Amino acid sequence: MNPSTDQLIHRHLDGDLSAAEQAELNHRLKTEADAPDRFVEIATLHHALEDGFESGTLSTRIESPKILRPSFGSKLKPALPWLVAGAAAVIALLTFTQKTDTQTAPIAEAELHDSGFAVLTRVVDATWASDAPEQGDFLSAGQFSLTSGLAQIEFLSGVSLVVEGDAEFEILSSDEMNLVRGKLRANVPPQAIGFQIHTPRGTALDLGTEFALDLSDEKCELHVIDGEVEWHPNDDIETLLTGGKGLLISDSAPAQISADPARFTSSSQLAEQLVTRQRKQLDAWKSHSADLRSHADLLAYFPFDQAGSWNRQLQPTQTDLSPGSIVAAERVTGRWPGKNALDFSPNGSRVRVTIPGEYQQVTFSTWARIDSLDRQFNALFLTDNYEEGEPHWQLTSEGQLFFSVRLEKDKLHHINLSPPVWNHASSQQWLHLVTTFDAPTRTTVHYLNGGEISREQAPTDKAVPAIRIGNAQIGNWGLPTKTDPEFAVRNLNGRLDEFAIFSSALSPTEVQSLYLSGKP
Amino acid sequence: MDSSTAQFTRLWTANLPKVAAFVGSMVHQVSDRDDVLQDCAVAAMTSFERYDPERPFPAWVIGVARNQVRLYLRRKSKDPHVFDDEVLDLLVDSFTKHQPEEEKLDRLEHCVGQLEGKARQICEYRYSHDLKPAAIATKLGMTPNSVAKSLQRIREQLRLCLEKSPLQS
Repeated sequence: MNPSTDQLIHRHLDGDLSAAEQAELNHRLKTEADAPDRFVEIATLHHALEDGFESGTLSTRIESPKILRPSFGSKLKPALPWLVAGAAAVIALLTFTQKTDTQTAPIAEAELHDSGFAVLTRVVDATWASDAPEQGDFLSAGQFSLTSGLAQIEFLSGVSLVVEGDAEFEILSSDEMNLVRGKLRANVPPQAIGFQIHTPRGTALDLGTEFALDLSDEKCELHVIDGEVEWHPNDDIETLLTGGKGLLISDSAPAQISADPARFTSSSQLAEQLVTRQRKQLDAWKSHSADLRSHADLLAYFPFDQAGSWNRQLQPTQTDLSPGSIVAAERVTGRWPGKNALDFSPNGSRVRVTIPGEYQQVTFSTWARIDSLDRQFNALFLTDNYEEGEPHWQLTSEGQLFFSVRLEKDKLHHINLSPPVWNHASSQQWLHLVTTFDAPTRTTVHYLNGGEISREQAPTDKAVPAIRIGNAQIGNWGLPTKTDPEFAVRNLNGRLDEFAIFSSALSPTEVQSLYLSGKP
Repeated sequence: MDSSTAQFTRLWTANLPKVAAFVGSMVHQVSDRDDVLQDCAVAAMTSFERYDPERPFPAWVIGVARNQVRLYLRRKSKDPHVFDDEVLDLLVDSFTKHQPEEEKLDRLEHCVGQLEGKARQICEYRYSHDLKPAAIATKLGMTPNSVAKSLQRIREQLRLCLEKSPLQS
């Protein structure tokens, strides 16, 4: 059966014609009067489809990676030296028929995502009934029960809340929550107008600025400190309240009251309490730190307690040790205001230290606040080289503690990995990291925040006679040599505050007490 | 940008879909198509001072494009999938006469949205993934011939859909 002219045109456009069929199409276009117009009509539709799918205006529903076609104008032939630059740019623009999104390369990896509607930004003496969130944690939709203390919660919409324990609440989204019981004070900026707090007796809808709620089984008090709030009772029309006014809702008729801001903790009062609390914690740490200095097995202890950004020496408490030399790392605020930490994110950051001797056991302990683990290996403490008996303590890009000791030449070391101690969500938290190693039993124990997280015994053929440190570095690894100025990038993208090395494997109780005395 | 460049830009941009459709129907290699279209733009721009504003710009610019396509086809003269000069001129005339039906094409999204099942898949593979009938056939467990026929039916169906007034559709 002879194909129709239309059929030939369609198949021509799909690049599906044999040489004989192409010749036939040529013939038809010459001999059939309406064939060229028909061709143009179909070709125009074909082009519109190509263009539409390429630019994304015609959606794609098949879930498979889109093959990106080289698009018109994406590469300008360099064959036109006589064409002035401006004209060349015009042409690049002119032949660019698609919308811009097809020009960009496909995203190879999924973008990092956080999940949550609010951030727990500050806490003072907060205790939670269960699943205690940490300061800096994202709060997702769900129930929270603050049994005592104060918590400042900042919604991603811009709303800032101070909740006073004992309180129970539920986060619904970044602009909606339930209050079940307790007191809170909400600051609603213009960006977040419309923020709603539902209670069993009705809903407070903020039209801007500040209000407070005090809710118990018997009654609900609404205090409008500044701005305007609409009260939407569950079964009645709403009331508009302005600054200074309040409403008492109970089983009897609602009553007007005057707002009493003094009854509710504001964020500035919380901040003041926090400062006082932090000062107390710092004082407590100082006394613990003074006690620690007399620990019999303390090999090197850097408390990070000297001030002054000009000071490029990191002083150990051991008088027989030479001070560490700070390279590139910056002195920043540590666990508390008034307490130092070192930020190792500047390129090349490290502290050079020297610790002589040979040991059968060793413990490394530090406080770390990690921004990201974007290197394959992220240094905590590594010896300059990696010779027999030398330990390397670092973090993998997956957030695992990685401890290894070099064996004799040509023998592969044993790697002791912990479960992940860090992920992106914990980037605002100070983590207490400890690893102990006992050479005779070849046992490595990793601890996170005072708790043991892994314990592993290396096979007998991975035995190490003794541990040596010598010249080493806190927070980085690798030194350039005269002939080879390149070195691996392992500096920790984050801060360290307090660093201790012991010549014994601390017991779980000792590690727990180190954690408790340094916990911010 | 001087006024003549600005004028050229305006005219070229307005007629780009037509030129691109013309070039696209003549040049199957997608990568070659880019080059030819670019050649057309360069040629049109550099000879724009010879364009007589009394004449319709579409006819002039399709003429310029024809020359570029002919140059290209000549380079590819061993390729059987090409037209001879006589056919080329016939098609140039048709492209020049062809009135762009922009209101109709605006409804293309709606019409494509009405495609269902296999038709939809074939259309996606052909245009979104730039696959030829043989490759689509492998993906969907069909014969290349039935895919080619489906593509024709799909375009005919879209054509019919575009012909309908918005009220009918």
